[in-house]
Amino acid sequence: MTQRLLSLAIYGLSTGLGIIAFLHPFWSAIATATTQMGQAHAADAPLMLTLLVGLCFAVLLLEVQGQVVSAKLVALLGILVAMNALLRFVDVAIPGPGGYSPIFALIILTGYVYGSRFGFLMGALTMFVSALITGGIGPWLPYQMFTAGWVGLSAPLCRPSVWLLQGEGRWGEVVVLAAFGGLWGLLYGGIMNIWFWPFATGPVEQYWTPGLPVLETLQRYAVFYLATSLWWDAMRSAGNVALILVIGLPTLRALRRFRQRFAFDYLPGYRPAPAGGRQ
Amino acid sequence: MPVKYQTFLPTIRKPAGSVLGLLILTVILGAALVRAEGPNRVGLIVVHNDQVIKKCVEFSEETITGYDVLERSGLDFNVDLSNSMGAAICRIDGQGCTYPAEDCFCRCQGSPCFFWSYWHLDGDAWRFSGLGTSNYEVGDGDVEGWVWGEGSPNRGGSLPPPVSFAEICALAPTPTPTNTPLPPTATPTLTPTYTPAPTDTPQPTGTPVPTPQISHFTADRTTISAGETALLSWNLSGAQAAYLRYNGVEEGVIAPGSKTVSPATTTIYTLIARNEGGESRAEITVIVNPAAPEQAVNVAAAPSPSPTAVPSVPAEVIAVPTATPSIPATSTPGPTVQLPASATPPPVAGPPSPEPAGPVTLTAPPPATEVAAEPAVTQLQPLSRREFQAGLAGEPASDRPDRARQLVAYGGLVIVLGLFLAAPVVLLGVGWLAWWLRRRQ
Repeated sequence: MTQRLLSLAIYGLSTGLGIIAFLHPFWSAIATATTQMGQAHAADAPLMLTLLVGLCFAVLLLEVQGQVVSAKLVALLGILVAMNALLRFVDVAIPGPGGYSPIFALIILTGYVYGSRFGFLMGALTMFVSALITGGIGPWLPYQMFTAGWVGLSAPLCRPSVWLLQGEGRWGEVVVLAAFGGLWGLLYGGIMNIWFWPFATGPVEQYWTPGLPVLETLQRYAVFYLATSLWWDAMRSAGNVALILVIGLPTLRALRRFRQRFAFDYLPGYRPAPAGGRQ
Repeated sequence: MPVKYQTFLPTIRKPAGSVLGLLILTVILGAALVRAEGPNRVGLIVVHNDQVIKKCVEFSEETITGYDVLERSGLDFNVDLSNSMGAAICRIDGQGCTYPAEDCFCRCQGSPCFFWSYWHLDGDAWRFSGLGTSNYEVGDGDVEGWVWGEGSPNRGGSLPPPVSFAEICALAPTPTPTNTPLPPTATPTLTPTYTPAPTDTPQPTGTPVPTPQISHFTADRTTISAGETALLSWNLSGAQAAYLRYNGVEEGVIAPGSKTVSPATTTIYTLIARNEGGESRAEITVIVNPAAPEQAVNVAAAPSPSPTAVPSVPAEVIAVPTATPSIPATSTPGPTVQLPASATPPPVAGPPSPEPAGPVTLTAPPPATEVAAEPAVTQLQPLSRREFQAGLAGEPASDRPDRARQLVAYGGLVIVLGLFLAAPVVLLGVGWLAWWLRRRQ
């Protein structure tokens, strides 16, 4: 019980930390002083990165200790993260259209099958490892780790809809997951923009200035998003949908087979009680 | 459960899935290709002495430079490429200097200083180019202007005559040159009414030429607070050229037309219509009350409110989000140069027509302040981006031919948001609702 609470607290802390990291410029006075794009978060990003990585490892260690069987799961996590990082490496070599990236499909499917906590680790560590092998380390990395982590964290939200469609193992399941991937294609961009947006300047009706009321901030962000990143992100959404539709069924089968092998306490049928599958 | 999955392994499903996926991919790719193809066109107008030459230049690329436009127009021109800052245009259509036999600016060695000034049509107003011809990118629907003279109107030069893309290109789809020398008695071949209002009377063609008629010149509000905007609109007939004068600057306009202004201080706007017979004027004074202190902070990016000077445009050239190109998973739409497009009315209080510092601005990629005046936005989706910015900024409906594209862009917006935002949210929401209802029972 203590272990569970502790585990819960650490995931909650990671998510909270991410939200604070994204939103703190809106309150911080630094926002006005620092306007150089590349310098955004230059001061606090390393701190965030260290904290996040530290928390990830704390989670991992806790998981390993907390559940005896899950040493195997940690190995599985390592393999999945490596596969996904490789996918991103390929995508860097042969770029897809717009913001398309193949990594999200696997994060969503893994998070959906193995639960929120596993999904969070899958997303965050995928970004971390792939940044190492693609040379993508920078002040944006912690933000990518948080956001990709949230993609995996939220994947089990699909379960009620799958249950409603009686779709487990069928097309209904894949369609729900594909729609979820489409949603995250836009959300990921919408969240990631915030890491630089308070520091950027341009047409007044698109950019934030200190002291702006919340409502107008949201309005300006909406205009900024539609004008700059919608089509970029739409490519990612379309890619997620297409990829999940194509690889969804076989990948889910494979993931579930491993879940059985590792005697993960899966739920017979969907029951949303907190039995370990999700938080 | 596992047994259940095994039963769902029939081999038919796998190909079905792949086929469906491939189909979707094909549709996406197809849509991308459709967007890219089709000849793009740009209008070109060259004015020297009594000659007005209009050309419609077709190209297949997304954008080409102003230099390419000249080159592909088939007009005679001479260029000095020795300048490391970019190409300098010395001669067009036989007018000007021949480099290297002469200095590229051989007619600008003192006063008067004649050179080829370079203009871009922005909505319905001509703007002096802040970039050199080899540095300025044009896309479908743009209009480029070249005038042999002394630069901008307050240096003694003149703007290109009012013209629209539709007039140059849509009416003459084939890129045949139409040399129309202006007859000395000036039957107005260049009437400003390119999209005549239905009530317009026909142009007078006889001599003597009557002075132009300004049928109306109004503002939706004449008293505003700093940072707010007023919409000027006008119509006139019988003019050969029409200008809007304010803050000591004259800006070419077409009629009927409108302009959203946001002056920082009280400003007099004068509409001037000219033809051979003389000129007519109408005035509107927009009174600006000092802003509340809080507002003043918010419009900090607006030009400094110096009453007489031409407001300077905020010089922010931001390389946005630049995660390294090797980081495709960042949401940032690539290296984007964000510029305050002057097409978006507030809060730029005047036409950002930067003063040409002699002919040099023709050749050089200018300093940051001048770059800022350029709406030459380099981006991944130039088309839709521009449409969105114009649309979202509440720009009055323009009569540019890319109205259809605007519709396409907004249609795409609805489809994308519906497919990737509304549909998933509904799907997930219904699932959760059903689950919650069942649990309550």
